[in-house]
Amino acid sequence: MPAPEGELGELLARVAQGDRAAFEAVYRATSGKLCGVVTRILRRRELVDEVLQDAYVRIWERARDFDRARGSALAWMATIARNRALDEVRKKREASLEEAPEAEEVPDTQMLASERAELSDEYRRLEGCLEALEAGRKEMVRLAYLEGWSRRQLASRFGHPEATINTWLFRSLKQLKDCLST
Amino acid sequence: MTDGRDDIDMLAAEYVLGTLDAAARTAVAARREREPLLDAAIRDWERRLSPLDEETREVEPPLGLFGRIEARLDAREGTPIVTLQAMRRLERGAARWRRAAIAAAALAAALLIAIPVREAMYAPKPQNFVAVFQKDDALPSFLLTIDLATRELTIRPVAAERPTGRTYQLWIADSALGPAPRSLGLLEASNEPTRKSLTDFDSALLQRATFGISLEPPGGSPTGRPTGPALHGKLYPATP
Repeated sequence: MPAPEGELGELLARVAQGDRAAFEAVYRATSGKLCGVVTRILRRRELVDEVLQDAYVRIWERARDFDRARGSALAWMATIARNRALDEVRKKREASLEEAPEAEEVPDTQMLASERAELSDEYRRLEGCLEALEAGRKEMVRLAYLEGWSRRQLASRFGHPEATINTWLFRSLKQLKDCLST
Repeated sequence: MTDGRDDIDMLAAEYVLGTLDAAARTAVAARREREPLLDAAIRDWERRLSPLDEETREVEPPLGLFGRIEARLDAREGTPIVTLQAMRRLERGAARWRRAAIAAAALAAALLIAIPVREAMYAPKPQNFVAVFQKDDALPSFLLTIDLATRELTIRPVAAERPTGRTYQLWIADSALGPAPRSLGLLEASNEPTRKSLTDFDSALLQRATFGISLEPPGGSPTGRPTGPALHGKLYPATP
């Protein structure tokens, strides 16, 4: 179970002071979520262990940088883990020239009604802005952000050159920014 | 292309979206450390897109992961794990240690923990080495002594509490034994000394090794490596 956000912030403040017990509590409260985030991107279990190790070592090192005024503690940690997973997957996929994962490997992202009830206002706002994008673009953004797909993989999946995909992503991101700032 | 704010903003957007290639990601990660504008733009994009993570379901992390993370932190800090406040005090002098041991034994006796006080207070022989295991800055949880002449180890719980349904497992780690700690077996009784023969290890190794105690499921770690919360300590001569 995720710890309440305020509690997690308190714990991170203690981690910044070098408190190992607080660090363990942070780990217990967040490792399921962070493991979910990186597993979705990495897909390979043997990479997950190493990436999560790196992520938590970084969380330990960087705890003092976390600023509660700037956002959620869980989101801050998930970002660290996600960045590390993306670094890994970019290196690996470029090395192996792996093409787009098979469609059936894409995890089921349909949320249960009970899960939807727990989504934040920020999520709903972002979802609304994604829905407003041109056809197919929402899926592209989601595959890139949630599954760590590269431009090359998106190009292969959507049947357009990488340059075109790039332009579409560029435009979609600009639209999202405008939509979220209104 | 100019290096204007718009370009920085879109570079940040692509970095956060994740579509940059490996070389570009590395370059952006390095640039954000020295370019506050880029760093701020990345944080803004993280704030915009991170709500998507809410829909990602939790996944059980790999078994024993936390122990491996702790080991990384220990290695990074260049210390044998939770270098206990008491261990630092110990380094300043074995005489002070003996007073602490007597105090701990006296306190354990006061708490009616079945420790033979006379045995705990006897003057250690030069061949004896001692390590103290403790959580936070509290009383020692365990006292570990090794007689190098016989290579016999005695581990004595002092103020250790054992959560129901869990057991303590003893480990030894040293580079000569490979990267993973090696199990020395379980500590069966929660309030009596456990003795182990360490004749498999030479005395030089025993003196430099790190000892660990972890909390494990009944029967010990299912993976052969520590999986639960652990305490660690190194041996110090019990005589000046």
